[in-house]
Order: sequence, then C-alpha cells, then structure tokens
Amino acid sequence: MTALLDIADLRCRFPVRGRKGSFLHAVDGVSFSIDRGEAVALVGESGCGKSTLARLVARLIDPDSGQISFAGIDLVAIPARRFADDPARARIQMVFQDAGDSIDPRYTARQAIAEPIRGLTRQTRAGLAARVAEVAALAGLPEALLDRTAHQLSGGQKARVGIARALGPAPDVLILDEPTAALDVSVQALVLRLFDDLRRELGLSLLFISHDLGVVRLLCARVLVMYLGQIVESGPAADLFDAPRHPYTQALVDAVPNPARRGQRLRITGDIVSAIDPPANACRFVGRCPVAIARCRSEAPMLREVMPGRQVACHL
Amino acid sequence: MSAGDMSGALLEITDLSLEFRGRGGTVRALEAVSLSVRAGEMLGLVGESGSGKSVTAYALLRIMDAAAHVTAGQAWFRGTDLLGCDAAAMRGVRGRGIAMIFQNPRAALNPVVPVGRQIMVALRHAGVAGGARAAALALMDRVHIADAARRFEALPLELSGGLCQRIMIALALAARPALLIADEPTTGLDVTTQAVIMDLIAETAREAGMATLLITHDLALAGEQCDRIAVMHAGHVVEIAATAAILEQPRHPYTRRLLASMPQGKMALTELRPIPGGLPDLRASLPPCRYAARCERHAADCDAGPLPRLWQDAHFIACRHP
Repeated sequence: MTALLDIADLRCRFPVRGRKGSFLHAVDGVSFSIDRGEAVALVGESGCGKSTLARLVARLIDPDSGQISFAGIDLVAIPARRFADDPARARIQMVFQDAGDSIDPRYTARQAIAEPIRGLTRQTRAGLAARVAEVAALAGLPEALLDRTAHQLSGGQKARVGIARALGPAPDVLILDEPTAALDVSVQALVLRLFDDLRRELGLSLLFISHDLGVVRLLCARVLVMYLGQIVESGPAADLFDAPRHPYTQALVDAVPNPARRGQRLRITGDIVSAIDPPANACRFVGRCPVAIARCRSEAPMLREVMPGRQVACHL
Repeated sequence: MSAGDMSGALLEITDLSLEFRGRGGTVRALEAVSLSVRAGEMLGLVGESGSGKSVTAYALLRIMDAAAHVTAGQAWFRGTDLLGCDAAAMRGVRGRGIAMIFQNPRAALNPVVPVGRQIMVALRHAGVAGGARAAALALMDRVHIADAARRFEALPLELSGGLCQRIMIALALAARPALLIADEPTTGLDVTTQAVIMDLIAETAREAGMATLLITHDLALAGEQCDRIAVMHAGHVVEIAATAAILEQPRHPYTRRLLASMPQGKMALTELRPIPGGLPDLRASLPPCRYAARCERHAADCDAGPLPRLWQDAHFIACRHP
C-alpha cells in the first residue's frame, strides 16, 4: 500500500539577514510518510523546524528541494503562490494553535466556517449552509453558538470553530499545530477525543505537532522526533516513549512531569543551539548530549533502521 | 490545631474574598479563600484558567487591577496583614519578604536595561551597598547562567526564554525573600527547559530556606515538585492536602475529575474523562458550591447550607459529599 502523503528528503533554508552566505537550515533532509487514517506526531522544541515542516507540507511555503507526494500528485510542482487556488488545497487543511487569533474577530463562527468552503468548493447557497451545519456538528459545536463572534466563545469553543473550519472543504489530511496547547486539561480531553473520532469515522490522516508527549501518546500511533531540522528518531509511540534510543528523545520523555519519578530524571542543559550553518561533520545534538563520544564531533550520524519501523540517528 | 496544622505558617490567608467591579457586572473572583504556606515548604496552587489562583497571588502583593476590590479577609505574613497594612509596609514586604516571578519572563524584565544591571538595581534596593556588580554576577552563577560576565550586558531580547526566567529567579533571590510566588514559571518554555527551570526553582528555594507558592494549571508538575497542593475551582479552594494524598486519595469530586482528565502514563484516550460543563459565570448568583452544576455527586442538600469546610487531619475538603 502506498502512503497517502509521502515526503522525501525535504529541505528548506532561509538566508540570514546581514550575514551573506549564511543560511538557517530549518528543514534539512526530512523524509516520512502518513497513511490514510493514520495519526503521526511530530515532536520537538521551538526552533527545531517543526512549524516550517508543517508549512511546507501544507504548501504555504516552497521547499528548496525534495518531494511531497500526495495521493500520487507531486505537490512540489505547484508553487505555494498558486496552491491556494489548486483543488489539492482543499485536501490538506491546517488547524492552528490559537484558534481565537486565527479567526477574523468580526466574523461569526458561521462566517468563519463558511469562508474556506466557499473559497475551495463549488456550492449553492443552500449547499453551503448545509455544509456549515454539518461540519459544525462534526466538531461538536452547537447551532446556537454559530452566530457568535470569537470573543463571545470560550477557548474550547474557539478550538472547535478552528476544527470545523478545517473540516469544511472535506480534507484528507489535517495538520494540527499545537491545537490543545492553550486549552485547560478538561477541555483538552474533549478536543483530543474529537480528533480521534474524526480519524476513525472519516478516515482522516493527522499530522499532530506538539511538544506534549503525554498528549501525543494518547492520540498518535507513530512519532517523529525532530531536532535542528532533522528527524533524530521515529517509531511506534508506545515503543519510542517506553524505550527511547536517542538521548534527545530520552530527555524529552524525562522532562514530562511525573510525580512517581520525583528527582530521578535525565536533564539536558543549555538551550537549543542555532540552526544557522550547522557543521556538516558532527551530530547537531552533541553540545547538549550527556553521553557524547569523540566520534559524535567528527561524523554526523545518519538516520538508520534499528528494528522494523524504528529509526534512530545516533552513533550510540 | 485550628483549621488544620497551622504550626510554622509563614503566610496565613483567611477568608479572602475579592471581586472585580465593572460595567459588565461584578465578578466574584474569590470567595472565602483560606490557605497557609509554611516556612520552607513548596505549596502548589492548582486550578484551571479562571479559578482565581493568580488573582490570589496578586491580591497578596496588592498588584491588582483598579477594578479589583478585596471585600473580606486577612493575609498575615510575619506579623503584617498584607491586605490591611499601609503602602510603606507593603513596600517593605515586596521583594524582601515576598518575591514573585511570572509566566512570561521577557515581558516582566525591563527591555532596555542589560539584565545584569537589572539584578544590580534589585540588589541595591535590597540594601547591598558596595560590590553590587560582583554580587549580581554571583547570583547569575547561582541560577546556573553559563558565561555570566558576557551575559551581564545582554538585553532580555537577546536571551532565550529559559535564560530570561533564570534572570527573573536571580532578581527574585536578590533580596533574600522568605516566600517566592512563582506564577506559571515554566508555561511557554520548551519542555526540556521547563524541567530544568523547575528543578532550579526547587533547588534555590531549598538552599535559601525559602518557601514557594507555585501557581500552575499542571497537576502533574505540582505533583512532582510540591509538598502540599491546594486545588481551586471558580474562586473557591476546594481541597488542600499533602501531595501524595491529592494524587492518590483525592476527596473532592473536582480534584478527582481533574486527575482523570489529565493524560498520564499508559492510559488510552478512551480512559481520559473530560469534566462536563465549564466554569460557572462568576457574575451570576451562584449556589454555595460553585462546582454543583458540574458535579456527579451533587445532592439536594448541597444547595441548602453554606459550603462545608472540613478538616480531616491535615486534609481540607470543601464538599458535603466527598
């Protein structure tokens, strides 16, 4: 079975202003695939390139090189500038972190949900109204709330408007960029269940970007761990969190507050280093790695399969 | 022992009620909040947004919005009632008695003054006359800022969020306070940085013998770091107990649901139980128990009398049917 979405050796660099010849390697040779109905998590810290990767896959920006193949269509061939009008636009939709900020404050929930449907699909007036009602119901948004503007809705309700908006054009893939980060735990639980229901019932594929490993484990079968533009580990969620192979994954797992493990965790110190002109012949994690050896400073580890479905980029 | 174990209480809040008066009506943000922080302990104040945990802290330091009015209550800290003392006494408490660090450290720092100089100002304010620069550098070392001499002249904008929070902690330590209030100190930081900063707060508090009031929405974080936890819901303190008791034998129905809605360990998504309903509108007239409308154990007598406030040994529960 070929994957619904297949990403191969994707690269995206940004020139650094005022430093001629310097580049920020935001996404540096990333490959992965997502099957229909599969939920894949992309985890990593700010500055690791996960949002750039999401924007590339959603075709909001153009990569320097690499392939994005979606249901057999080569999406890289369509420039980002033109992608907004392309029929494929409807099939990949994005849900943003702060739904309140990504909705026009003058719009009612109904207008906000209708906008992408009107822009991306051909609908009669009645068809449009029916579709808005349908996706609002799918997102668990009561009819009575549809005439409110964003500031009249709670955080959880705004999140649902963001989800309904993304569902409108009947996508195959939802890219979720930290969709629950701003929500209280009680509301977060509801929204996570909604995503899982949508995946099961509509066969939606999810690319879930998050730094919250507890949430990732609940929703996603497979996890990609990203560090400074590269995937450093990938595999089934349960295996990866129970027995992380890369020291960075280990540190992420240990950083999750866990009352049962008071005071016995691996801590990495230092902040994420810059992705500007990274050395070609060293591991990018070496400066923060608690177990680095000499080889890590002279040879960049390649992502290799260590067991079926499990890949790690580490010499150790 | 009245109202539980009060021995060694550094801060003692009793029956604090506070409301915001505005054009939209009066929001009764806090009602009869009582809690104590003991010398040297870390108390977690946990609740969802709108539960009143930050407002409680702001009320203690009297750094509130003009619309906020304390309508009742006392907050005794080393012989001073923070809610009733004059402005001069309050200035003596801020920084020296109680210091506070905030969620967004970069926004709390002065954007145009090098961070090392901000620490020097705090040290001079605390009475350090000579050698403030060396003392500031020593504080930066103490919060594990590598290369402190170089970072001394940096502006907040030039430092990462984690480094800015370290600077905030150094500022808070400058006057050797007895109590540190940390309001969501790691929210918005990267996960690995969150863990390191939280360890730093715990470590510096322990070294300095400083008590800490940790305000957080994250029950797991409080569970990992705190000695005791107080749970708030809609302006009420609903439960206070030792951390292990809160996590393992929660008594209040809200605490139980909060725990059940939290992703933890190897649970499946279907085991995650969201809390029905939302926070009540605090402008409306409310029943004695503000959780009643969401509560699975709600009974007719819950609406009858005032909110019960039970102390069983060192475990406080504001519930008639725990």
